[in-house]
Amino acid sequence: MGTALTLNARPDEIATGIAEEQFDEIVRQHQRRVYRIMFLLVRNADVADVLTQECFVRAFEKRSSFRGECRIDTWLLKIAVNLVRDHARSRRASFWKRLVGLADADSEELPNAFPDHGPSPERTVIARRQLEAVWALAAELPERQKTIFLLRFAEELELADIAHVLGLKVGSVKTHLFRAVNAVREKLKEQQWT
Amino acid sequence: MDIKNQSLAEAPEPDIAAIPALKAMLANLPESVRAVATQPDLFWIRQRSAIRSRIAVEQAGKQPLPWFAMAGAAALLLISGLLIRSTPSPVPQAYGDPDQELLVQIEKAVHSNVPEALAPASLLAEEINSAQPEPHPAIKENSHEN
Repeated sequence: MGTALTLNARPDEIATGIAEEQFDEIVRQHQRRVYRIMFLLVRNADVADVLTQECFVRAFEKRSSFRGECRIDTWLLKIAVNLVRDHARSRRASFWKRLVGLADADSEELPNAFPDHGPSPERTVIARRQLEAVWALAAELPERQKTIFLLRFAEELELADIAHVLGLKVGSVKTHLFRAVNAVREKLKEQQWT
Repeated sequence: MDIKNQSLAEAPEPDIAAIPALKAMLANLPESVRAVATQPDLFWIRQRSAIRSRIAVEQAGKQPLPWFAMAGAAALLLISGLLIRSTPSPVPQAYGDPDQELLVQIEKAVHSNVPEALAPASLLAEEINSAQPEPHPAIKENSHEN
């Protein structure tokens, strides 16, 4: 069973299903990107690591159902974005539990927004500041708008790929993106005036 | 695709170049994300290892049991079922009521002619008495004649 493993493979070049022995190579090729997108969306290195692992475990379980309708990376990102959405829901649930005293306050996630180790000190500091500023701008956007905004401008995904990953039409993705950009622009204006 | 979606799909993307402040903010953002999310090789090796382990564990959990293990388990169940059915139900053991036993002892002591401590001696005396033959009346009479 042949499966194209490269990011540039066209859907029609991809055979259906993924062989078990090829899976390790798929993990090797795509783990960095999946992790990066997880990190971008959850803003926590440890959570991104766990969710990346979960993404590949689920992909392995579903590998026989992969029909080659899209590229492998798009298929993986679809699983990843669904995991992030589930994680956000469970976080909201645990937030309310903590609020009403049902959960232990000590179990709250420790703030670990950035990994301790990075490429180079100066570049990393600048990059962190920029990313934090963008996160702050996008923080008040609705979940879907925020995801589309970050996937488009931070990960440079094509609108068609975003539409496939989120299960939306391209027109809907554009609408969400317009709204997100407008909201961010308004917030930037507010920041300039204050 | 309906007209609305078609027009949306054909509409241009939001042009961030027209918003200088946003353009400045988003410039080089992909590189910044890559820089921040960069991890050492050891991190990726460990992550692959963790993925392999988790997949192995999940696969092991889904493996069907071999036929002999299933047959053995079924036989064990059958035998234990038969044993449970053939074993007679235990007879409930009667436990003596200590109060009742004490009352019986008191009653015995009250009806007895001797104190409890001397009961063995009185029993012995009774046995000796019963073992001795009573003197013959004819012999008695003869001795008087002499």
